[in-house]
Parts: sequence; C-alpha cells; structure tokens
Amino acid sequence: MKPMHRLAVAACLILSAGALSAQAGDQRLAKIDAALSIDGTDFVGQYTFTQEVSRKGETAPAVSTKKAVIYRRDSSNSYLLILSEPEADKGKAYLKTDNNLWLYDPVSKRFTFTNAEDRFQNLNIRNSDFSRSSLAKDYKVVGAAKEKLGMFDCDVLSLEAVANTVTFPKLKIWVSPDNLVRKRQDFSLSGELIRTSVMPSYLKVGAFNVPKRVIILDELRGRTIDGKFVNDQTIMVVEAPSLQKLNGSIYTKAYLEQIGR
Amino acid sequence: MERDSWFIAWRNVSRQLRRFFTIMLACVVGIVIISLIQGVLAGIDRNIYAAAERYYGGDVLVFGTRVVPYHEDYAPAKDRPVLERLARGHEEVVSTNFRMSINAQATLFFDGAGQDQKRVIGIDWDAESSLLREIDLVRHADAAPGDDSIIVSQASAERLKCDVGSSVLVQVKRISGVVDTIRLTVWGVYRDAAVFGPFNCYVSNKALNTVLGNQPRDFFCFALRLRPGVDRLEFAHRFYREMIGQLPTLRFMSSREEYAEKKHWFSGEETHYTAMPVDYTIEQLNQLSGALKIGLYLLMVFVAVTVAIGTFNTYRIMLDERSRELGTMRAIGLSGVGLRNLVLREGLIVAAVGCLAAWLVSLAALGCLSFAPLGNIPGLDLFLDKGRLKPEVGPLQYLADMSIMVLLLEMSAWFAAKRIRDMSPIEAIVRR
Repeated sequence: MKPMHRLAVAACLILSAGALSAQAGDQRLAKIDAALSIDGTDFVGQYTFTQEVSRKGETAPAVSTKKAVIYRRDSSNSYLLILSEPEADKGKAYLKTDNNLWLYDPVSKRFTFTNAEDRFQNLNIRNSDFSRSSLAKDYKVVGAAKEKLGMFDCDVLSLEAVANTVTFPKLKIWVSPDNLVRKRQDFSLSGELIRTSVMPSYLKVGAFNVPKRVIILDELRGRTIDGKFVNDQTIMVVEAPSLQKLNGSIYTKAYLEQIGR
Repeated sequence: MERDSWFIAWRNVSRQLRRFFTIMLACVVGIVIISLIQGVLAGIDRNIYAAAERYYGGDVLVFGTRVVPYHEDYAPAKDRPVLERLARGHEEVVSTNFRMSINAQATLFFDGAGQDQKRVIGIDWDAESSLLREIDLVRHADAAPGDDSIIVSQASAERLKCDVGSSVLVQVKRISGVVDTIRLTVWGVYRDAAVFGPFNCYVSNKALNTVLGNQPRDFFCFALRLRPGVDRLEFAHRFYREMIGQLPTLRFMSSREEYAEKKHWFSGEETHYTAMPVDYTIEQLNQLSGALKIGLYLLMVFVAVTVAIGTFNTYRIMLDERSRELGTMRAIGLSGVGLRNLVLREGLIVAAVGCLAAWLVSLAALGCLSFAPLGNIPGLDLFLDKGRLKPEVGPLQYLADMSIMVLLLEMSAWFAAKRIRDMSPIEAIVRR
C-alpha cells in the first residue's frame, strides 16, 4: 500500500472512530436519561433541602431547612413543587409546564414568570434541577475516562452543550455501570467549576430511580475555617417517594389558585 | 429735598443702629436660610444628574435593542461608525462613548464570598479616562486599567473583603441563561454615589462583551456629552430624527418606562435605536427629590412669612417708640407722605446693608456645608457627590432672594408707616 493510501485509510479510520464514539456518547447519554426519567406515570416525593452556610468566625455552619412536595410528570416535562416549610414560605409553589416556569405566591395570589436557570429559593439548587434529565438532547460527549468513585467503577464523561438554553455549558459526570449519575460537576463556559453534586444513593421506585440524597457543593461560596476551605452546601433528601397517575389538572395555574383559596 | 430725605434716613439708621438691628438680623437670617435651602435643592438636582451622567456616560443616550435571537439591549459594532458620524455633525457634542451593560445578572466572587451586582458597566477605559476622575475612587492601582481590570464599589469590596490587586471572579448569566465567568483584577475601589445603588462595578467593554459572548466592540448604549446649557430633550429629538433612514429606529419615547414597555415592538432581526435625554433615567429620583423640594419650599415660605410678621411687628414697636421724633418732624413741616417715604427709605437702607451681610454669611454657610462630610448620614447619601452635598446658588438666585426680602421689609415698613402717616403731629408728640 502506498504511503498516501495508508494515510487516507488511517484518516478514514480515525474519522469513523470519532463518529462512532460520538454516536456511542449520544447513546450513553440517552441511557442515562432513560435511567433517571419516570415515564408513563407521575412521581410524588417529599423533599427536604438543608442549606449549610459557613460564616467567618463561626465554628459551625449556619443551617436552614426547607421542605417541599414535588409532583413530577416527565412525559410532559412538567412539575409542581409546593413548599411546606418554613412557615413563611408555606404554599409558595413552582409550576413548570413545557418551557414555562411560574412562581406562585399564595399571599398575593400572583404568578411570576421565573427562569429555570435561577437559583431555587436562594439555595445551590437551580430550578432546572427538578426537570427531567435531558442530557442527550442538550449535550454531547467530548471526553471519556474511567475512574473509581468510592465503590463504583465509573465512566467519567465530559460534556459540552449543544444548545445554548442550558444553565451550565460544560459538565463532567461520573456514571456507574447502571447508568446512574453518581457525581456531577457544573462548569461555566470558560471552564470555571461552579458546583459539584454527589448522589451516593438512589431510591428504587417501581422500575425507576430517584436520587435519595444529593449533596450539592457551591464551589464559589464558602469560608476558610481552621485553614481549610469549607464550601457552602445544600443537601437534598427525598422521602416517601411514590408513583401514581395523577390528574393532569394538577399541573395548571388553576389548581394552585384553587388550593391557595 | 429728595437728597435730604435719603440723608435723614441714613442718619436715622446709622445713629439708631440698635433699633434697626433686629430688622437687619431678620433680613440676614431670612436670606441665609432661603439661599441655603435653594443651594441644597440645586445641589441635590446637580448631584442626581451628575450621578446619572456618570452611570450612563452622557447627557443624551442612544439605546440599541433587538428581538432576535433574544429580547435584549444590544447593538452591534458595525453600527458604531454611523452613530459617530452623526455625532460629529453637532458642535454641541463635547464627547461620545459606547457602553455595554448588564443588569442584575452578575455576581462577584472572592475567597468564598459572593456579592450580586445590580449593574456591570462596560466602558472603553481610554475613551472614558475622565470617568476615573469623576467617580470617587477610594484607592486604586498606579498603572492605567486594562481589559482585565475591574473597579468595584466600596460596599462590594467590604462584603467580599477584596482590595486593589485581588483577583475576583465575575459570574454572569447570559440572556440565554448560560453561565459564564471571567477573572478580573481589582484596579480600584470607589465610593458609590448610591443614587443607583451601592452594587455596581466597572469593567472594560471588551471583557464584558467576551463574557457575554458578544463581539468585543458591541455596545448597548451610545452616550453623548453635550456642552452645558444645551437643551437635552430637544437635542435628543434632533439626533433621533437624524438617525431615521441611517439606522433602523424605534419611535421616540416620552419616558424610560415607555421605552421599557415598547422597545421590542418591532419585527426583524436588526437592532433598532432610539434616543433620549439622560433625564428620562432619573424620573423616579426626580420625583423623590421633588417631594423633598416641596417640604423645603414650604419651609422657605414659612421663613418668609415669619420674617414678614416679625419685621412688621418690630417696625410697629419701633415707630411707636419714635412717635415723638416723627411727630416733631411732622410739626416742622414734613408731610404724611414724606414721613412714610422716610420710613421706607430707612427700610431700604437696612435691607441693603442686611442683604450685603446676608450674602457674605450665606457664602460662608454654603462653603461650610459643601465641605461637611455627610456621607455617613443614612438616606442622605442618595443626594451626595463624593460624600458632599455641594450646594450652589447662582447670582441671579441671590438677586431674586434679596429682592423678595427687600420687598417683605418694605411692605412691613409701609404698613407700619401708614399708621404714623395718618397721625396728626400733636397726636404723635403727645402719644407717649
């Protein structure tokens, strides 16, 4: 084989390998989405959010807690989140239908349009974190490696956004063989690490998986205490998960207005 | 006779200074208080305007906005030459500059602390070097600022515990929702005039455009600084009319609120422009200062009325005390009208001396007030410039104040003299 032909064959092989890996990456992301999505039914769960903020001069972090009930219907990409604690926020609700996200205030009985990218209740959680996983639609795999994460042998996938509607244009996810995301790092477009989320365990609800406990570290906020930088963190715990087919009217403004009365 | 009357009036005033002192004092106090109030009001207006001018970069602003792909305030660099050419055609324009800006979508981070910013203002450091003199820099680096520099407010610096030379992370949320970050070095810390809130920062246009995903020379506002005294609204109208046909334009808006409501009422992908005076951006502040003004004007009226009543009563008592002297003058041939004129002339002389003294005292008082550090008084910092009130009263305003005070004094003298004029000489002499 002439050197030129060899070069052409090698180039073809590299290109096809690249195409294959891209395709494989998309498939892997689709599998992750499928593992994290709840299709054909509705999900209901009690969520507890514990925010730990370290302050200078204080040995223990300041802790605040919020509780909410979440109704989720992934087939229509809808969710309804109703806050139950603290008392001051009781009845406040987030309603997501399609691409619209509304914040309902039961005192003023008004809906305010809000953004999925915004912080949820000033915690390290984004409103978009409650939506169904759409990694395959929003990202492409640009790098892959293997790493042992605790007891899990994980694939570490580096992702870049293909749509500019996502909050974090770069992600790094640690995926266990069962296609569950065990760790996730969110980066800004210029590559600054913004937050790290760890999902050590999942609840098996029917045939579906729901993270039982998510620890979200704010990589930009925290305090150096005794020479060690302690990140602000939010811990999200899911309790009493259940699957039940709910009436579609739950995911409407009218429903919120009705329970507000 | 006329000269004699002025001479007698002068002699009466100079020889009975103690009697006229109260009236003179009332005149001085009245003018000083009124001019101080006016000075403060003018200072407030000027400081609010100066803050707005610094904030937006000029007296007349040309805003660009687009609807595709997003509804946002944005103008492409390609439109710069058109605007610059139009501006060059006006001799009223002193300077121009382009600014990028982002509202409430940015956070500064340093050493684990975060501080949301109300506004990140992108400027061309070279073109707007005068800004560095105008803003109240508490401390800054020696070298000129560059594309990696940021000027943060003192309030932000205190919360973040950063200082000149610190490397801060600026996180912005683009209009699409994507988060991006840029590391910048604190070049300076400034004391914000606080009219627009204490959490604003200045960066280079290039840095802000980079982190927003724009071209380096894109902008959202073209600001024109005009010569003093130019009618800003009229100029904005004129500039707007000239833009028509040169650039896609919106309608001319009658307020900032109307602009906010209707700026996206067009179709097409091109950026559309409109012009407005910077006054539109401070309408709410003007309403706030207007409420304050009403209070101060009422105080002014109260002072004027008090001075008028006080001087009238003082005149009455004084003329009663002088009834024997005035009755004698009537007895030796001075007419009732002549007597009244004499009193009025005495009043004029007192007012003239009082005005001169009041002018000097108020100049001193305004000077003291302008040097007084008032920045720590809560609420007042809204109206300060570099922590100072900087009151000012123009010569015409002084003249008007003095005229009002002279008029009040003369009216008091006239009413008081009226009673003496109608009194017979015998009655006047035997009165006491």
